[in-house]
Amino acid sequence: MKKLFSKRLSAHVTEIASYLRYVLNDFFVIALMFFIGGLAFEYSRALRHLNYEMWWLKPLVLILMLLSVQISHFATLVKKPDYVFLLPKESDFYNYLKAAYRYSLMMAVPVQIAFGIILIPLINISRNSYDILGIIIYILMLVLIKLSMMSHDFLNSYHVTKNYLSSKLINRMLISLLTLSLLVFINSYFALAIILIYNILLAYLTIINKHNSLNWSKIIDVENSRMLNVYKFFNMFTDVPQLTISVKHRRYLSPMMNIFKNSSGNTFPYLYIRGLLRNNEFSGLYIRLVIIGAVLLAFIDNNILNIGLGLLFLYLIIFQLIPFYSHFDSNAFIHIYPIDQNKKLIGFQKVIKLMSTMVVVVFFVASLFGTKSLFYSLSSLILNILLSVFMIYIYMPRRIKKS
Amino acid sequence: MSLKVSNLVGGYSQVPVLKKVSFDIKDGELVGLIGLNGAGKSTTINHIIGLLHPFSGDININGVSSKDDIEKYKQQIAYIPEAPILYEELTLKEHIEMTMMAYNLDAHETWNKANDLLKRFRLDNKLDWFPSNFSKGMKQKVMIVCAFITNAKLFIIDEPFLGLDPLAVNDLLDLINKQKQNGSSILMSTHVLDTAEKFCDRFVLIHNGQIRTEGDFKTLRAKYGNDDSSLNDIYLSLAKEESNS
Repeated sequence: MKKLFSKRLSAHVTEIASYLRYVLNDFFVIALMFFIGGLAFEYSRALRHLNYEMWWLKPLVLILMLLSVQISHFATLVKKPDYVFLLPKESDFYNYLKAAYRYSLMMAVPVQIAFGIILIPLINISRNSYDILGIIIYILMLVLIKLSMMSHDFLNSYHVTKNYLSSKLINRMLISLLTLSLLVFINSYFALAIILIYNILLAYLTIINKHNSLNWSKIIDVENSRMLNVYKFFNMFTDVPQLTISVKHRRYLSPMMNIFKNSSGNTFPYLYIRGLLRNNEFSGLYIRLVIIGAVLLAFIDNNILNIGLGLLFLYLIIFQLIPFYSHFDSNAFIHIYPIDQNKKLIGFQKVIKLMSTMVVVVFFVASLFGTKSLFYSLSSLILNILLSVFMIYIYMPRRIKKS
Repeated sequence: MSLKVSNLVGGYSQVPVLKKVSFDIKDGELVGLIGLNGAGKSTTINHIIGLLHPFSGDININGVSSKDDIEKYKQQIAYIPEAPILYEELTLKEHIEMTMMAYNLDAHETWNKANDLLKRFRLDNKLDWFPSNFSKGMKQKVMIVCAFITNAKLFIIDEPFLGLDPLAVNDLLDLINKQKQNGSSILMSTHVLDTAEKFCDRFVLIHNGQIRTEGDFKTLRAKYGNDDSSLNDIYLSLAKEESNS
């Protein structure tokens, strides 16, 4: 079982490494360095203006620590077929989980320590003291709370009888909130004692419960959603085939979906608009680009640059939506329906027209804020409309025909 | 004559899977398409529904050939695939609306039909759910509902019984019977032979991409078995004979 885990782990590391190649491309590394440098600079500048009397300092430290312990999760690397194929190995599976637990801690603890070190100056100011022991306790608390969360996940890989043992609210939020509040506001030794006892309790409970049956559905769900987040992150840089489509209902968008009335001519718009808005991959891409674009336009006061950026973002948005044209092609019914296939392109154009109209309107408002000039924002509006028309009616049909 | 397949040669790539397949289905007839895995059942179906283009030969439904007017041709077909094919992004209600739009059906009349069917298959309280999260059997029921709200002249049903509960199997056979009475024809591919024996009017037995034999149960019995042999016996003996030769 331990061997199985190390085999899975090496496959996992290879997979992650292959994606990291795309993430750590030159542009991104440079941007990241600028970002971190800028952040560090701002942080050091802000520290100079802080002093002990500010009432919100301690709550800030508390919140930052609370956020910190949310990073990294119990990684079991379990796969869905396991519950069928490893069925007879159930009791042996404890060793697998233990290996996974160790690996997860190995990944998580350095992160917590690093975060603690970054927080040191802030902690010092908030406590108005510079003693090393105090700092060590703060960092130790971060590590111990993370440890307790991992142990809680480990324990919950098994069926536990008591509801309060499986509750995430109690075991993750309340315990960490309680002990961190004790640490920051009242007495750090007291907090340390409580989290220690809690950890011992969890370890004891895990040993007791390890003969229970495994909660396979939970283990698989947790691991799948963890990997989904990893893949989603990588998906911003490259295509991730494992990313299964995730769909949200988004009832609040139904007025927009109903723009296309139910009639035979609207079969494809009906399908495309729902697909675009509910499919997280495309709607996420769209909304991210619109927000980033709008924020940039609202803050850049160089008129020419403002217009140029608006055009660039509009181009990117429409360009990224074009592959959606063939999104449903794997569904046999698209080909079976008694509809003229030419209507597919016309329907797709209708939907993209709607999506780009919204962008153009948002960008117009944003550039009003940015340029503070009606003349320039109106010229931007007109150029954007021209670009949309070009993209949708001239560029897109050619591009689709080519592929 | 509802469906007429004549001298169909076809397949997925350059290599033909089907070698000169010909058969027909008359109005109001339920024909069972049987054959071993890989015999060419699904390939035949994929040609009929227009997913594949024939290398040669012709398929026509009520006189409309797929080559002449594909839209009119397709308008007459409703299809239930072997594995449910659903849109990840659409709810159950929207699947029905989508079908209505695609087949240009009257909304009011069709919703009456749809509500009946939904109630029958106990899906009427799940209209706002995403069927892609349903179980296999429930997904299959969605496909059945979407097919049977159309006014199709020809229903193509690929292996319909797997994953359905006995009640649903019964309901499906009921629906098929009603369509037969309306004059629609059904082509059904299946491995569940004892059900097929009871309900199909005629059988087309396909082997290695060719029609091995066809006829109603009585004819097959007379030709290949005796008075007690079931469809299963006949089928097994034919399949063995083939693999020996």
